Amino acid sequence: MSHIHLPDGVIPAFWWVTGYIITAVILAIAFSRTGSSEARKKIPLLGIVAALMLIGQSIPLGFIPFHLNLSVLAGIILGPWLGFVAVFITNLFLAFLGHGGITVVGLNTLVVGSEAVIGYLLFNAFRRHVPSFTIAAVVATVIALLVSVSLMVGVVTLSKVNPGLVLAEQIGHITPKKEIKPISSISIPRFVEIIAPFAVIGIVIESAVTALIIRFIIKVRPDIIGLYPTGG
Amino acid sequence: MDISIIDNLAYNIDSVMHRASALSKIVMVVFVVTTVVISTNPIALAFGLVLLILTILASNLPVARVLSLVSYAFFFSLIFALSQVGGGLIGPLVIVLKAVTAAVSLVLLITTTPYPQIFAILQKVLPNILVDAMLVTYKSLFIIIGQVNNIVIAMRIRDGYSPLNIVKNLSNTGKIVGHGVIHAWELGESMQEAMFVRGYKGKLPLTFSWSSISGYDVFPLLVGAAILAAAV
Repeated sequence: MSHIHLPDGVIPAFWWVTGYIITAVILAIAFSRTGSSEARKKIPLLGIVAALMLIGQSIPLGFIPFHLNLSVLAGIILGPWLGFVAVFITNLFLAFLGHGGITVVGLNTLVVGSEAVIGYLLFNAFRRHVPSFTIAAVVATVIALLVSVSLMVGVVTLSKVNPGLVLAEQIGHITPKKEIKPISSISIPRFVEIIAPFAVIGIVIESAVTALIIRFIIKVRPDIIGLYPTGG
Repeated sequence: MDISIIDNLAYNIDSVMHRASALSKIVMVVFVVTTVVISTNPIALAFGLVLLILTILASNLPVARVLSLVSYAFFFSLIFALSQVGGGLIGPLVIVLKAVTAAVSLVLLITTTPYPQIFAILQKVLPNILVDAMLVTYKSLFIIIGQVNNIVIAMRIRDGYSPLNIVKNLSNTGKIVGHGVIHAWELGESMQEAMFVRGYKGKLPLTFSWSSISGYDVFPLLVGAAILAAAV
């Protein structure tokens, strides 16, 4: 849900390079943890789930600046490591289609990938203690999305991503300072205030859709999420 | 999602850019993205954008159609830019130019290069498993988009969509996506079996040959180098 729609050249190089490095490390761990043979077997499923996410992420819902990510669902279906890989693939494809800059793919993967990892862990923790899988999916998705929104705000805070500030620093090196008027900036609390209503709507929609999908899968093919038909 | 159109443009048009190897076009994109990252000069960025649009024209591509693919980048950069209008016009202009120039270079790459050629280059620098998963993702997109379209049409025909009934729409959307996930999963299982029957051992056969490099490669390299030189 918390896709960072920032164009290239806005985030300082230090941050997006760091994002790529951390993402590369996690991807390397992901492949070593899943084992090459297991990952190899799951490549078609990984590709299919990534394609589904890509479709979800490329369709804006229209009335709010929001699109489904389906990343928690990807984590629940593929597991945390391959779920993270699926998130990386979708972000790379989206960047090639002009949906977010190519330089922010690493940061986007970290933010959205957290939804896959945390969603998987929480869903599996809750489903043992909560009577309904649907409720477990809702709670897991809500918490995972809250964490990813917080991460997104963290990225904005750390990278001073107010494009005016970033550009003012850069333009200041090549043009006289007096030509650059003070950039109208908003504080982080104000930024959070602005995005909060959209985040709440987005979290409600994404958790509802994720839970409904999980409910449907449990009815029809429970083995997809590691459950087995009860015979009832 | 314009994947089929992109594929059609990459395969069925002939031009100097189409005849150039994927490697030189990727180098061109690297030059352009580097320009976007390091430059805050609106004239240099505008020069880059104009040169890329001229290259699209010279590549016999439908300019309006290709540029419509970067509407996401334009839209989101415009939001940032509008929020900075109070600080002068240079900053907002630079934001939009950075976003659109980088996105146009990526779109130029994918509309002039058949996707196996791009993946063959990626296979040289990324793990085979990752590239294979990306290839499956790309192939699956066409199938899943077709299925989703059919399901949505069926839902509308059967009165499954009511503009004012959000609960009903959410529930039906959950079932549709759930159905799509299960269908995609079964497709993935079939693909998995097919790949292993055909002797898949962790690397899909994508070949990049240095002999594919020809005199045509000078063109994208010159375009990229000119854009970078203008910014330095």
